[in-house]
Amino acid sequence: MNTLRYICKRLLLVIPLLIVISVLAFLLSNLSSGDVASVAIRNEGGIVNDVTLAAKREELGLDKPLAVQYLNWLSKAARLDFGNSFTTKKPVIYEIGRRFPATLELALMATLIAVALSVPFALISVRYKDKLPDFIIRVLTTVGATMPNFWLGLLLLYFFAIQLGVVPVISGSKFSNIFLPAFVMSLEHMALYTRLLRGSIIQVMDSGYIKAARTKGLTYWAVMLKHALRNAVLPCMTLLTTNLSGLICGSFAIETIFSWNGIGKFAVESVKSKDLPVVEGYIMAVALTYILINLIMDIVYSYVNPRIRLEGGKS
Amino acid sequence: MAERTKTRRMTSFQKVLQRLAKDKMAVLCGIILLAFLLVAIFSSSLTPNDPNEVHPELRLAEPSFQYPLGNDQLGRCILSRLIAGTSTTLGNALAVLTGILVVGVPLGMYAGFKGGIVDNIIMRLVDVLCTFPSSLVALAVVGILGPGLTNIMLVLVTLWWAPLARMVRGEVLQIKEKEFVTAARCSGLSDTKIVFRHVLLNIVPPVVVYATLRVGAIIMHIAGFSFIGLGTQAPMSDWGVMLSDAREYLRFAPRMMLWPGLCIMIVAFSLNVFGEGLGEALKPGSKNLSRKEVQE
Repeated sequence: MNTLRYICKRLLLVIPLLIVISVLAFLLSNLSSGDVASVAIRNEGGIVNDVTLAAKREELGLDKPLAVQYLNWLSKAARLDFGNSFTTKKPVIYEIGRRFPATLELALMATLIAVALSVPFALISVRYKDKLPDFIIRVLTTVGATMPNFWLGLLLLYFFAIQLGVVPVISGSKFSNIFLPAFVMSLEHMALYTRLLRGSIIQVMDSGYIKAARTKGLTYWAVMLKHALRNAVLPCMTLLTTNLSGLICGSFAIETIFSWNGIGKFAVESVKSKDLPVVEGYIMAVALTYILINLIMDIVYSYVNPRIRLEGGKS
Repeated sequence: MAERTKTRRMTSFQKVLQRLAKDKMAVLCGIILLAFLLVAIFSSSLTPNDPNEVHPELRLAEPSFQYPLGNDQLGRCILSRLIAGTSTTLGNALAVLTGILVVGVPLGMYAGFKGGIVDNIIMRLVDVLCTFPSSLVALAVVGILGPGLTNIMLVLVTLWWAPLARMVRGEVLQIKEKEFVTAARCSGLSDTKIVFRHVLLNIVPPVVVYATLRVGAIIMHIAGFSFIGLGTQAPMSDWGVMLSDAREYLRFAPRMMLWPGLCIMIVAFSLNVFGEGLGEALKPGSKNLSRKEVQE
């Protein structure tokens, strides 16, 4: 029962996000309505004058009241119909669907790298607390958190692609080229996890059951891996999901640098070329993914950690 | 009475400074930040050359005596552009920060102090805004209104006052329970006077720490959008735009990307370390402050 209430509460919280995002996406196609019609005509190779403009506006439904237009747009959007891209002339949903797996791949790989690096870093940091390895890791994580990732991307691209020539300058979406962009994207998250995990392990190591396990004669690493790490990981889990969805939303700079053919790079290009249907589609697609990931992980998390579920149900 | 409280506040302020001085790293970062701030303020008189003067014959030129960091793709002096960029980058970030503070602090204080329906409305709005991914909203707004710095800054203010308001509300809720507030209320002070004389002063430390840590994120966000060409537009320039230019000439003039990136990183790093040091220094300090006020 509580779980259901918790899920309902989470669902209620995302409705405003959906509405605002959809209104934004809708405004995208309408705020500059004169523009849209003339851009559409020009893209079809027609001549822009009063007659064609009026006809095009009627065809696109731009002469109706804004609220009606919004509802029309919404019913189309619900069917994932965002019209055709101005530049490629193909349906927006096809173009986005084609590129989406690459972005998802990149985000997942970045998360994987962040986790794979942060766990050993945190373990080492705790083992040698306040000694040199801990200090080095702490400086590294601070640098990692404050280094602009697009700059790091440029530096690595220059070093590996231009100086050493081991990776191509244009990554396309080949899986073998994923590591560099994924590493760049993972860095700030890696830094965050390491710090959080370090703090949370130190806290857990102070608790009674760890001391009990130690006095029982278990070795340091056995206690650490079997008891401490497991309990310390939990607080990091929520962060993991926020970050995964953040990675999908914020991948456009890195995708642009590495010419990774994902939706982020596509969206930036579309904003620049005023290919509005694509931008609309991108915003709705990413917003839905964002909401979906957060929702799924909230529910999973509430099963793993019943305390959250109970608190959520009560308030 | 007024003088006495003043001296006491001074001593606790000095204590914070003393504690901060022990953290060598934080002090160093504070000095670096101060230096950047001074460069930003006096940028127009510090630039060795005109940052916007085009020299076609010096296109992508190596560093020389007159142009210590070399020239960019239009032959403009990179050092001068870097210095001019300091003032735009920091100025814009501080403008966004001011916006966040102006909206977030009063709303958070009001919600925390008054409670009730208004609190509920403000906090639900905060909950909702906190679910908004800022880069996505910024991209959408830029899509509607066209690329431009003002749009990015507006989005940041609209979204990022929310977490600040949430934090301020939490602080106010704690302070509200303190005895000195009850004492002030018993002595017949109005709500407004209590808020301005007792509550506001006590939320300054956490707000300062929050603001310091947030500026780095603001700088990165603006620079990120300038970098992909959707933020600051020519002829305006900031570090993000310089990096964006450098990207085009990565193969021929890789040193172009070095300095703007380094500047962003140093400033963000310093803000981070200084902010955390300040937070540590203020932690016991703020407690002392309230304890003393309780004694009064």
